[in-house]
Amino acid sequence: MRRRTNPASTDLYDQAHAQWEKEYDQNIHSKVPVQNRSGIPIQPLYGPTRDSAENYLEALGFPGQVPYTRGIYTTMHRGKTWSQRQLIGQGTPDEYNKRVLQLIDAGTTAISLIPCNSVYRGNDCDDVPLPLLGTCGTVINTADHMDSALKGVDIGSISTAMNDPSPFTLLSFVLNTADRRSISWQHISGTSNQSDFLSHFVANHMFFRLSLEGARRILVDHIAFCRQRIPHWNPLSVVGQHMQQAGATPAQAMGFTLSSALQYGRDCLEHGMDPDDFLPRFTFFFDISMSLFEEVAKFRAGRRIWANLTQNELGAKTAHARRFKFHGQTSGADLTRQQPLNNITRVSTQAIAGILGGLQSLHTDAYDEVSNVPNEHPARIAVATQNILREEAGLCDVIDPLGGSWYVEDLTDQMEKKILNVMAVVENEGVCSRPSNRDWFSA
Amino acid sequence: MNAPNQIPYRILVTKVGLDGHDRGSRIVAAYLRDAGMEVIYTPPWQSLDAVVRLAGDEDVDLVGISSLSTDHLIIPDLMSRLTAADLTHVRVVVGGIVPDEEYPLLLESGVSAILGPGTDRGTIVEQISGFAAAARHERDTEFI
Repeated sequence: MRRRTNPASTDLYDQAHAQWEKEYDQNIHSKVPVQNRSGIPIQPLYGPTRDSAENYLEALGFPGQVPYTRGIYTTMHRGKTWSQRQLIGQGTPDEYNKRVLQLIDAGTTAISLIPCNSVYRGNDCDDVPLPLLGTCGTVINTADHMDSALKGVDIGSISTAMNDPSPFTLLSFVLNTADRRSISWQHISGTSNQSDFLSHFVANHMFFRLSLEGARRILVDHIAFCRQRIPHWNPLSVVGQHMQQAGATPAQAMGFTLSSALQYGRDCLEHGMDPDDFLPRFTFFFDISMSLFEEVAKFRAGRRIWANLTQNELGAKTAHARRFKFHGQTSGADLTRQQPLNNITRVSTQAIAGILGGLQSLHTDAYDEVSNVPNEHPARIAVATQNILREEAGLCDVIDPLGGSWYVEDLTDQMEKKILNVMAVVENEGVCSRPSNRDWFSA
Repeated sequence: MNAPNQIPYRILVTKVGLDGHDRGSRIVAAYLRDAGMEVIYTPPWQSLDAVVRLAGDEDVDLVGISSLSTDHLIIPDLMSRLTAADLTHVRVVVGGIVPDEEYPLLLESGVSAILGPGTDRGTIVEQISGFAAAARHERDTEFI
């Protein structure tokens, strides 16, 4: 155990600690140092570190209070559990519709739509090889397609996430569908997922075919339009998931994501927008790996950093604008094709990490994602995994249940330092603002 | 992995179709390069014609295609085009996510092997050099 200043420190305490340390050294078989994915050395035991409530408010605060380390809402999952948002998309609009109605029936509370890769890339569907159409996403080329895909789905009450790097095409189809059904845009809620073009340029490469400068301008226009016309739509989801899946450590992924978000915030300011208006509609999307405590610490540190950045760098005045809302997805890269059923255990573990980390929305991978686009049965198990964790495991009973754990608090501080180091390099090199420098965090 | 004094195997590592997830292709390209092969690497989204043209122009022994969404479905078409371009000796190996039931589709169209998730570096290098050697031999005997 690391020796640190401790008010309870007495001779007896030191004696007991020394005895434990000695016996530990005698009994431990492996002397190989343990470190997490971000390269932080992990001790076998953590002890009291924070000497009083003195810096509690500054470093942690209560849930729903800045810096939001313990959660962005007062009641967190006890008041409202996370949205179950499974990413889906395959086949024709009618096939998508059938799947989405099944998922709603199985308990999913928010939906998403992954378009066919041809839509993603901005191809006309006549221009791509026929065997590929609809095999990895739904073919949505027109407003009619969207209307069919969302048949029987009450888009005035259910939140819809559109995976759309363009980033406005699918949203325009949704708005047209709303018009056809006489639903006011005031009631349309959801997110333009994948609108973070930087993450596509550096890691995922599923971007719409635009220059980096063009994408940057369109994103700002898109945010401005949504703020004026669709009050409950989140026009931006800043994506750390791509980077972590492409090989970034959890700390790097968080650092890159916050740096990108900062850049988008600055672009909005330059466009004359009010930070207290646009920042509450910024959302984040992260990978959740098997490294459970590290992931929890990553999210706690991310919340704290964002709360500070929004105030200090972007001029947010309201507490609301400083909230770090995020969607999490369990890690496909951690799954194995051999013995695929074991993936259910992995997905559960990752989901627990995300829930304990205080996420707002969760996608659990189907165990067969290592072999194909998920089939119906594995997809149902993935939804059931969330139901079980929510209903049976007591995970929603206590807010930030790992808060106060000596280990997790220490790790949160260390992850924060790592993340800030990454961000300092990004800032100094101008990685986000000068496209030619993007290779620095390119995967 | 080449025999001494032999011209290194030439491998085209590419992605066809619409998907852009290129981490796997980059890693495999590095594995093959480190094993002494000459790797011609392209970004994703190549058309089948571009792959055929590159395979011919670059005189490659083997084309490695990484497919992580469903782009493997057009590989049978690639095989026909390679044949039409008189590149029958060029071997094709697919890596990435191919559903079990679609293995026959690829293998019957002439794909030499599918290396799925979990295939280790040694196996990749060994398989690729084995197929590349066969391709090289076939090409050289054709010309005699």
